[in-house]
Amino acid sequence: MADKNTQAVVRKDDAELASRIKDTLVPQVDICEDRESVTLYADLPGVAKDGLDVHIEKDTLQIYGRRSAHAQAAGTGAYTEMPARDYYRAFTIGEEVDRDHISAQLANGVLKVVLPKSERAKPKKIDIKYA
Amino acid sequence: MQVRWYDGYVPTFNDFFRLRDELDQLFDIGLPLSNIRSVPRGTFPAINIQEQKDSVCIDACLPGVDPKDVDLTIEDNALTIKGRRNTGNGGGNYHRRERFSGEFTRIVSLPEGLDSNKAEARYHEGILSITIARAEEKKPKQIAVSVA
Repeated sequence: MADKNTQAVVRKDDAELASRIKDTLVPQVDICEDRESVTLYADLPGVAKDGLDVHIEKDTLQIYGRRSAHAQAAGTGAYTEMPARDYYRAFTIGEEVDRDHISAQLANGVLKVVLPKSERAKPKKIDIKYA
Repeated sequence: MQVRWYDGYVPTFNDFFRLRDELDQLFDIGLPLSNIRSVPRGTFPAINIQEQKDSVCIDACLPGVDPKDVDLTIEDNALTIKGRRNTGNGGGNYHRRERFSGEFTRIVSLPEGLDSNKAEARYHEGILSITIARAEEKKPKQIAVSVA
């Protein structure tokens, strides 16, 4: 019985997500990593600050970008390579990311998300003692 | 049997590469009526064109591009968008590099009867919007019908 209920909840979540990300575009991203953090850059042309939703749910980083009215209108013309659709992309993140210190900024249609590593996950140099 | 290993083709995946090539042929090259000026999917920057009564608006998706690095010229009936975008951020190892980086040029054929002296460009939220007004004599005119 419990299993049945759990499954129903999961399906509902999936349905909500599916309806939200229906007909969305997948933004192109660069992801690089150094000792301190993992940094993600995403191209989101036509997305204003209030149309952007970046959040972490369980182990998933979700990026959702709604196009502003101007950009919406721009995709309904005589010739269209960039359809007037919203953006969605998600990534799984590991335990090593310090969830409390994630920062995001949007400038000129490019989103930058910095995912700092927790102290425990940073590489450590081991001193070698000579006997 | 000699295993050939060149061009980055790993023998195990040969069937996948073959499938990809065949699909490319089917959808891109196979189409007999593609325009000679058409560009492949994913060409940077993506462009949208809207025709309005008084003007034509060309939107180019140029996220993260400094407008100073973009050169716009109109010659005859062609608009050239030329520039560069540098996404290189130096430090760190890349897991993914999907975003375009480097120099780009796109040439857009414009309809007849535009006044290139009345063109303006605006950069907002990563989209460069170029508006070119229609020449006065080319604008649609209303003809009054008089009753005899």
